Amino acid sequence: MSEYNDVELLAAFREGREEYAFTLIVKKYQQKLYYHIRRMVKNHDDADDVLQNTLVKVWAGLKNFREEANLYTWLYRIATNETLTFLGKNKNVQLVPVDKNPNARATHRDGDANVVSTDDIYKKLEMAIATLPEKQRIVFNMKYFDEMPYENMSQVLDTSVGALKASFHHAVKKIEEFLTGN
Amino acid sequence: MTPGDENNDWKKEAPLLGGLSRKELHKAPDGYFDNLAQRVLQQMNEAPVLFSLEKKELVEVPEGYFESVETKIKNITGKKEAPVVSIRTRVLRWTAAAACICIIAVAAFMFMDHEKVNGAIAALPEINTENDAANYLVDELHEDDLIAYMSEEEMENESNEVVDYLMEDGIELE
Repeated sequence: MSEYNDVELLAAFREGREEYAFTLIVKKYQQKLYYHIRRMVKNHDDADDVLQNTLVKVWAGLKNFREEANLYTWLYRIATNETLTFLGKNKNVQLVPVDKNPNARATHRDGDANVVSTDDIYKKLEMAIATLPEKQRIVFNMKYFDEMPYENMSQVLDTSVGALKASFHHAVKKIEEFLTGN
Repeated sequence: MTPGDENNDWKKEAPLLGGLSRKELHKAPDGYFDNLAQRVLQQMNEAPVLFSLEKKELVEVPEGYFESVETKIKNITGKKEAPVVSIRTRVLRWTAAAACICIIAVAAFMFMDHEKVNGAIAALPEINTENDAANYLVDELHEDDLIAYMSEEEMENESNEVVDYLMEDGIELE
């Protein structure tokens, strides 16, 4: 699987080995797409729904896919749009239970308030990300977790690099404040 | 951040976040990715026509409908507000209705009574002289009534004659 690059996979698709090529493309990118979606929605079932819709769109669009666009960027773009559509339809759904007093939750259970357990700090990070505005959250996730270059993000989100940098900067600042309790 | 990636400065501003090892906060269920592509393909093969269709709303909404719908609803509900009617107006209405009924009832009564009177007058014989009247009374009145009437007439005449006599003789009456 790993020996095929994107160009070869697309060529295989165009040569008539559509299901074979599609299966390889999915296997190559499924985890990245899943977690990209999963970080934005409430639970696995929602992520599964959005990912399946994404892959259906990918299948339908592959025959018209323009070579000049990066396959990886194109897949992310579809997944992002599907996620935003899903979130738009479920605006009242809370992403994660946000604790009113996260600092109290982040203290270690042995009673020492200065010691924060590893699990708790990540739980706190999850809550901090959930407080971000939708677009800012996507930018943060793509940069922090996926380590996606700003140029690629710019293509996926159709936003300028400067705006993405500013958005990420604001998100980082808010999350740090949340984590430190300031 | 990958080596050479632009902008690692944020780690200086957010040392706690920057110090964390980046790991996924959620975990997919075991085996979820094993046959994902096959599941999606099978799903599409079971309903190829449905999945080939572009998802879109089948019912079209006029442009700008949702922008104006709130205003329309307010207008409709505003018109349907219950009208406030004062007690005075309500009493006046009932009074007017009662007066109308009374007028109609009186008019109907008078119309019917008038017909009766006209009928009775039409049935009366033509009376021009005292004799006509006397004849009518003789014909119409009962004999007992006539006798009683005559008795009263005679007594009154006799009383008058007695009074005249006493006055001529100079006798004063009390």
